[in-house]
Amino acid sequence: MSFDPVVHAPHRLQVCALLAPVASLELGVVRDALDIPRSVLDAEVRILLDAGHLREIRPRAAARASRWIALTDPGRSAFARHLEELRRIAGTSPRYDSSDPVKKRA
Amino acid sequence: MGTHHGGLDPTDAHLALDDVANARNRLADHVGLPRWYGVGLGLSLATAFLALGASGAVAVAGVALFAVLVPLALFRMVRRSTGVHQDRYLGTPGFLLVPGLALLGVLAVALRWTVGLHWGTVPSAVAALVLVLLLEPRIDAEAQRGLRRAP
Repeated sequence: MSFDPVVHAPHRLQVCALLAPVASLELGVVRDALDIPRSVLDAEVRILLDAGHLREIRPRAAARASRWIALTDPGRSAFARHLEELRRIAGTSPRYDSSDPVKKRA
Repeated sequence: MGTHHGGLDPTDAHLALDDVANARNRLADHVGLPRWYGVGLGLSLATAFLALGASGAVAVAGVALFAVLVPLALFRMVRRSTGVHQDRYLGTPGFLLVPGLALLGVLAVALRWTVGLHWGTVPSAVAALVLVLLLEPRIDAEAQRGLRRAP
């Protein structure tokens, strides 16, 4: 099934959306981009980690305070399929452009 | 209006897609590179070109240090400072850097060792610096656009 209930929760969907075009992100960058409390983000990340969609990259001792996360291959595929399903339901073109109000509401 | 998975209708799907786009826009706003990166990379590569003018072990050590080790250290520093690990060179004007720099390297070696001009590597070093300083902002802008338009 394309629709992934683990990915679909709003914060988790955004976490996956941030990670999909990059190799990895520091957790603080994700928190700033989503503007949510650390505890909320930690809980959402834990769910994605447990589902196998995310992997945590262990920092070296010098950067112990920072935590990095990345999508796993199955997580990347699940997010891509979920996005396609959302676009299908929304009836938008594959390359959704939120800055284009005409396309957005077409 | 029909519903789909778990009561999701087209409006819900649009809102979810809006969330995706908004999150990516905020990340793209965040990932601009620090100015020292382009300057440092340009100076390092220019120094590597100057090292081509030296002979023997000095040339090898100079190229290894300034064309490989220092750029790798800069990549790592910028990753740590921005909190983003992103391939900025594939699929952006960044891919022009590699053949451009290789061409300049061939030119530098030819001028220094074939034509015999002792200052032969200097024009290539200056050109490498200018090339990096000109291309880096474009690479950065393209990388940010890539984040906003990611599939």
